[in-house]
Amino acid sequence: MEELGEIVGEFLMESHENLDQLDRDLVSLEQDPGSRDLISRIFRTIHTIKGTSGFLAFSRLETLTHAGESLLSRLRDGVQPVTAETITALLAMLDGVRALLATIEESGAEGDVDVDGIIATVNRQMTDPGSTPPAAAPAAEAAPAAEAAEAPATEDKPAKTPVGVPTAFEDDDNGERPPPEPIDEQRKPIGEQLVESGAASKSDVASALQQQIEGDERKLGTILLDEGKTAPAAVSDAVQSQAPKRSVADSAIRVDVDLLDGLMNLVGELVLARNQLVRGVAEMGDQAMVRSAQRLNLITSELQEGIMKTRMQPIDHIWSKLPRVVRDLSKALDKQINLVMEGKETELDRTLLEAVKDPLTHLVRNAVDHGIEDVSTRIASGKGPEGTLTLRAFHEGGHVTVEVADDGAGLNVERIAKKAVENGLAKPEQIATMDRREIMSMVFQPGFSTAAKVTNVSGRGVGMDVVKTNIERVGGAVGVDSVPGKGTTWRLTIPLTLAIIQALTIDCADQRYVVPQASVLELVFIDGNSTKIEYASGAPVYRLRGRLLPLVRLDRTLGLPVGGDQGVYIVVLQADGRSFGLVVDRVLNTEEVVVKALNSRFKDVGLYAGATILGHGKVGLILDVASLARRSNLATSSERDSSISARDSRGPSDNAERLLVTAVGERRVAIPLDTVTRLEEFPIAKIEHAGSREVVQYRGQILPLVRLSYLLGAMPEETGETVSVVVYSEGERSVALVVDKIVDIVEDAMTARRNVDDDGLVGTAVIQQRVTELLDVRRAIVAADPNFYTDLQEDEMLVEA
Amino acid sequence: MATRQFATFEVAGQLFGVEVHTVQEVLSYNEYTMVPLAPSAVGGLFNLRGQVIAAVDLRVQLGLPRQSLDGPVMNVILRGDEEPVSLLVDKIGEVVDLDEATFEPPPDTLNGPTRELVVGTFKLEGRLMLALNVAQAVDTYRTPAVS
Repeated sequence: MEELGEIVGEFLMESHENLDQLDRDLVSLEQDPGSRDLISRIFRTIHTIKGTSGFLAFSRLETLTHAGESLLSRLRDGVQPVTAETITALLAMLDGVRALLATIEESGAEGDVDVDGIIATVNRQMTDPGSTPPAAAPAAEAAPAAEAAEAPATEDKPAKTPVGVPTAFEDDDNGERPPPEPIDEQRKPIGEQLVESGAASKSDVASALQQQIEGDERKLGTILLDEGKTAPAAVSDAVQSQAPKRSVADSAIRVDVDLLDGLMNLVGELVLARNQLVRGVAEMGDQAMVRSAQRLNLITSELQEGIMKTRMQPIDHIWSKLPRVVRDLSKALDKQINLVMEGKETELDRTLLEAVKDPLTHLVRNAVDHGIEDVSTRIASGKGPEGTLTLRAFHEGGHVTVEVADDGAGLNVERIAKKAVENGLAKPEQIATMDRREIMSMVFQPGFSTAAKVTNVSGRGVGMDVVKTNIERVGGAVGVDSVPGKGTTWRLTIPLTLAIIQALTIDCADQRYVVPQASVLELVFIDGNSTKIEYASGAPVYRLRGRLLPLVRLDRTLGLPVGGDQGVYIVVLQADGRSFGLVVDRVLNTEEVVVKALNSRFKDVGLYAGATILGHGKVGLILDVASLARRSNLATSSERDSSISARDSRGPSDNAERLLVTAVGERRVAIPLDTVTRLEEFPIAKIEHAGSREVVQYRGQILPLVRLSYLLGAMPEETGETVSVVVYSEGERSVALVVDKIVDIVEDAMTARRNVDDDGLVGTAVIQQRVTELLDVRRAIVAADPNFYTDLQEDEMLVEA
Repeated sequence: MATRQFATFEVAGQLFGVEVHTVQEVLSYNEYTMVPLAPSAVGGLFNLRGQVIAAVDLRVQLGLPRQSLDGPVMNVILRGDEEPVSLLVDKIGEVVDLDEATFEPPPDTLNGPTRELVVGTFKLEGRLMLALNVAQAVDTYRTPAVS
C-alpha cells in the first residue's frame, strides 16, 4: 500500500468531490429524465471511479461501480427509462461507494463493507425495471425535493459510515438511521491512554485526577511528569494521538485557478510598481531607501516565481502513475509491454495538466487493451513478443505535444467505417468520400467503440470522446495516425497559454525578441576581423568550423532598418532538421519566460510563436524559428536536399544521424549530435582536481571532465591554453568530454559502418574520406561520472514513489 | 424613450462613441511593443496586468497616419470575444446617455474608411458623435499589411 499512498490519496480526494457532484446530478436527472448531458456526465464520472479503482485493485468498489455503470449505460442508450426507482438504486450505489471510500481512507483497504445487497438492488433495476426497492418507494414517490434534501444529509454522516449500507439506506425514510458512532478511541482521555500504553500506573493516574478535582490547575500529563510518574515522550505521544486525525481532504487544499490567475495579475502589477519605485529611489539616492527597494525587488521576484510555479508542473506528475497502470493492465491481459517515456520534464500549466490527465490515462489503457497485441499474435506477425508503448511530450511550434504511440496492430480503417455506419455516425456514401485519416478520427465520436465485447478495461464507447472533449475544452486538438501492422500514434496538441520555456533574449534594431533556447545550438560573435560574415553572390554566410552556415538577418526579415555586419552576433539555430545562423545586434541572456498565446490577428504573420512579458514589464515577441527558416527559403533548400538524398537511394534524410566529428590525437571520433548539449572552451588554468578526477566550475556546478584521449588510449596532441569540450547533460547533471579539436558537424547516412569491440567505441564509419570512430557516449559518460545514470534512476524512483 | 450609454473619445478632432458595456477600462499607457509585419492597423502590444493586449490604431483604421507611440497614448480597452483588445485614441471624452431619438444613420456624404466603421450618428448638443461598429473597428485585416 505504501507506494500507492499518493495515488490513493488523490483518488480519494477526487472521488469525494465527484460524489458530491453525482448526488446533485442524479437528483437533477430525476427532475429532468430526458437530459442526455446529465446521463453522460454521471456515466463518465462513474466510469472514471471504476477505472481508477480497477487499477488500484479495489475490487469491491470496481464491482459496485461496474453494476452502476451498466445500469447507466442502459439509461443512456434509452433501453429503459429513468424512473424514481432507478435513481434510488443509483443513489444507494453512491452511498455504497462512499462507505467503501471511507473505509479505504481509514485503513487503506476495502475492509468488509457489504456491497452485494446494493449490487442486487441495482441489478434488479436492470432485470425488472418496474420493481421497487423495498422501503425505498415512499421516498421515491415523495417528490424530488425530499431526495434533494436527502442528498446533503448523507454527506453529514460521519466519515465512518457503518457497514451494511443497504440497510442504512433503506431505513433512511423511516428515520431509523443507526445512531452515529460514538466518538472513537482517538479522543480517549489522556490518562486512559497512558495506562493502556503502560506509561503510567492506574493508581498514579487516579491520584493525579484526584489532584485536578481538588483544584490543581495543571494538566494531567504535567502533574504526572512533575511527579516523575511517566516519561515525557509517552505524554507527547498520547497528546498527539488525541488530536483528531487529519483526513486526506484536510491535508491538501485545492485552490481555484481563477484565484491563482488573479494573484498572477496582481504580481504583474506589483512588478511594474516595483520597477518604477526602484528607478525613483535610485534617482533620490537615499541609501536606506535603496536597500529597502532592493529587498522589495528580491521579494517581488521570488513571489512572482512562486506564483508562477504554483501553476506549472512537469508532465511527469501525471505520467508517474502510468507505469503501474500499464503493468497491472498488461498482467491482467497477459501481454508484455515496455513503457518508454520521453520528455518527462516538459512543463505544463496545472489546468492543462489536469485536463490532459484523464485523456492520457484513457489513451494508455486503450493502447494496452486494443493497440498492442498479445504475445502469440505478435510472434505470429513477426514482431517481438514485447510491445512498446511510447509516451512523448515536447514543445513544438507554440504547443505542447503529447503522444501515445504503440507498435501494435494499428487501427482497422474498414472496421471503423463499418462500425460508424452501424452506429449511425455516418452514412455509407459519406464514408466513400472520406480519406483514411478522416475515418480514423471518427473514433473520437461519442458512442463509438469497435471492441466486440464489453470488458472492464474499455469498450463502452466512452473514453475517446472524453479524450476529445477534455482536450478541446482547453483549446487543444486530438489526432490519430496509424499504419496497419506497425502501430498507432495518438497525438494531443495542447496550447502553451502558460507554459514556461527557456529562452534567449536578443536585441535587434532596438527591439527585444525572444528565441526558444531549445532551438539554439550556439552563439558566435562577429568582430569583423577574425570572424566575419561573407557573401556568396549576395547571400550572407558564415564559415562555422569549415562549413558554410546560411545566415538570416533578423532585421531584414522583420522589415526593420538593416544594420551592419560588425559587432553583431550569430545565433546558430536549428529548425526542420537544418541549422542556420540568425544575425542579431546583441545577445542579452537566457531566462525562463512564460509563453502567452498571441491573438489570432497575428496568426497570418507566422513569425511569432507567442509573446511574453519580459523582466522590465514590456511585452516581448517570441520568434518562431521554423517559420523564420521557411521565410528565408531555408526549408525549401532542405527539401531539395532530402529529395537529392532520396534519389541517391540512401533513404529519407531523417534516417541520417548528425554527428559531431572531433579530433582526438591522430584519430577522429564522432559523437551523435543529439546527445551533445553544448560545445565549450575552457582555459587550462580553470581545470581543478577532485580526487583523481579533473573538474571545472561551470554555471554554478562542478562539471567532471573526461579526456577522450585517455579513455580511448590515443596520444593527445600538444595542449594549448584552452581545451575544447563537449558538454552532455541530462536533468541536473552534466559531464564534459575533452577532445583535442572540434572538426565538423556532418550528416552520416549510416553507410560503411563496422562494429568494433574496442573499449569505448560502438563502431567505425568513413566520414569525409577518413575512418572515424563512433564514440560509445554512455560509456564515456560513466567514465567521467560513475554515478551519472545511477543517480538519475534514483531521482526517477523518488518521483514515482 | 430608450436611452443608451456611450463612452466617447476623440480621434483627429472627431468625436466617436462605443456603447459602455463593450468597454472594459480606459487607461493611458506608454510602452508598446511593435509587431513587425503585422497588419498596419496594429499599433503594438502592451502588458495589461500580465495579459498581452493588442492595441489597434484607430487613426490607421480611419485612413489617417499612424499614432505616434513615443509617449503615453490613451487606450479604450474593449471586451473582445476571446480577449480584450484596445483602441488607440487621441483623447477620452465623457460617458453620455443618449436618446434613441437623436440617432440617425450615417450621412450619405460620409464615405471612405470612416463610413465602414460607423453605424450611425448621434446629434449631441453642439456636435456630432459617430457610433463605432466595434467589430469593424478592431478588425485589423480590413487594411492591408505593411509591406
